[in-house]
Amino acid sequence: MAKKHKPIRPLILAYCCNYCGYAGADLAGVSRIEYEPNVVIVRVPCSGRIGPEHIIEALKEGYDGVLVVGCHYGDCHFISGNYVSKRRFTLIKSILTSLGVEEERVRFEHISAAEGRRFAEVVNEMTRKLRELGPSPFVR
Amino acid sequence: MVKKISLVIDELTGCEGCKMSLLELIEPLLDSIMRDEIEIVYAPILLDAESFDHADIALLAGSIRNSEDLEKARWIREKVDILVATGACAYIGGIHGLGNLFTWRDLVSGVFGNVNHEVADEIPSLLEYTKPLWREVNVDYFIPGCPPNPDTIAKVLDGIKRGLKPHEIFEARTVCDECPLKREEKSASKVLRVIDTPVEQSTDRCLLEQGYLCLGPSTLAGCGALCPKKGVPCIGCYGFVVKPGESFDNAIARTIASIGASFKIEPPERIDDEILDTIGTFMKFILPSFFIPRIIK
Repeated sequence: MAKKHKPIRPLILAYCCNYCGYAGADLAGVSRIEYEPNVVIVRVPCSGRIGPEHIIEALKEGYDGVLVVGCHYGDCHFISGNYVSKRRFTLIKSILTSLGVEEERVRFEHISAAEGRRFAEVVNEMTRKLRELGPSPFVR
Repeated sequence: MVKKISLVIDELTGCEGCKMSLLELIEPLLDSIMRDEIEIVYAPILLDAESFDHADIALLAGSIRNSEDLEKARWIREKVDILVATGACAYIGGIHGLGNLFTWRDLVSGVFGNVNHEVADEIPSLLEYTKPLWREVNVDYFIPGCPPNPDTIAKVLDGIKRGLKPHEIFEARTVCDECPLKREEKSASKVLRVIDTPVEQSTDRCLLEQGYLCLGPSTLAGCGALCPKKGVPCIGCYGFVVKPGESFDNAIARTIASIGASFKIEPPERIDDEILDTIGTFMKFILPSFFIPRIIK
C-alpha cells in the first residue's frame, strides 16, 4: 500500500472471481447502485486461486478486512474452484479467529453475475461492521 | 594442522530431548575430540565450565520463554561466531508454543489458581509469549526436529564445516519424498482420527488418501518418514519447507492450502468441524513463528 496518501478507513480488499464476483461488482457499477467506497477490488481468474497466503498478506499489509467473492456452488467456471477456495478459507478463518482476530474481518461470499445489488449490500454491511470494530490490529 | 573447532552446547526452555539426540552422536563426536578436531568449551550438561570467552559454534536448543532465556541467548550470541538453533523449539517455537493461545496470566492462574502475580526478584519472570530464537537474536543455521534425528545434526555440522548456506544443506524435499507408502491420486471425503479408527498395521496406502491428517506433503525431510512408516500421521515436527527468502507465514499457508485441496468434504464449511482442532493440527510446532504469534486481546 502506498504510504504517500492516507487511505480511507476502514479499507477492505475484495478478491473477486472473474466470472461471478467481478461481473457482479461490474453490474453494481453499471446499474449505478451507490455503495461505500472503502473497497479495493482485485480481479482473479477464479476464487480457487485465493488461498490462505493472500488473506494473510492482505492483513499484514494493513487492510482492515478481506472479502473473497466466488460463484454459487455448482456455478464455478472451473467446476470446483469455489469449493476448494471455501475449504481453505474456512481453515484459515478458524485459525485467525482462535488467535483473537475478529470474525467480521474475513468473509467469504457467493455472488453471481446477476447480483449487483447483493454485492453493494455485502460491501455496505462489511464496512459498517468494520467501522464499529475500529482499525485492524496489524495496521502499521 | 586443521584449526580446532570450539563448541558450545546449551539449552533454554525445553525438554532436553535435543541433548539426548546429541548424545547419540557421542561416538563420532568423541572420535573428533580424540583427534583434536573439536573442543567442547561450555556445556552445562557435560562440563563444569561456568563461562567461556569465545567459541566457533553454539548449539542452542529450546525457546525463549522467560527473562533468563533472553539474557542467555544474547550472552551466547555475543560470544560465538555461528549460532545454530537446535531443535523445533529454537528453530520455530516448539510444541509449548501452543501456550501462546493463552495470556501468561491465564496460564499462571490456570495452573496455580488465584495467586499473586508479583514474583520475587530472584526468579526469572515470564515473557509475554514463547518466542523462537530468530525473534530475538540472529540465527545462522538451524537443525529442525522434535527431537532432531542424529543424522540431521551430523548433516548440519558437516555442512557448516564445508561452509554451505542453510538452504544448501536442506534441499526442498518433504517427508512424502522419503515415505514408502503408495499414492493413488485419490482424495479422501472425510477426516479420520487415529484415536477413533486406528491405521491398519499392514497398510501400504498413503495415510492422507485414506483420510488421516498427515502433514507430510509440506514438512521438511530428514527424519526418514519415521511416523508414516509405522502408521502414524506426520505432525510436522521438522517444520514446513521454507524456500530461501520466504516467510514462515507462506509455508504455513501452503500447508493449509494443500490440505484444504486434498480433502473433498461437502459442504466445504464442514472441514473445520471435521478437523476439530484446526490450529493445533496445523501449528503444533510453528505457532510462535506465525505473523500473529499469540492470542490478541
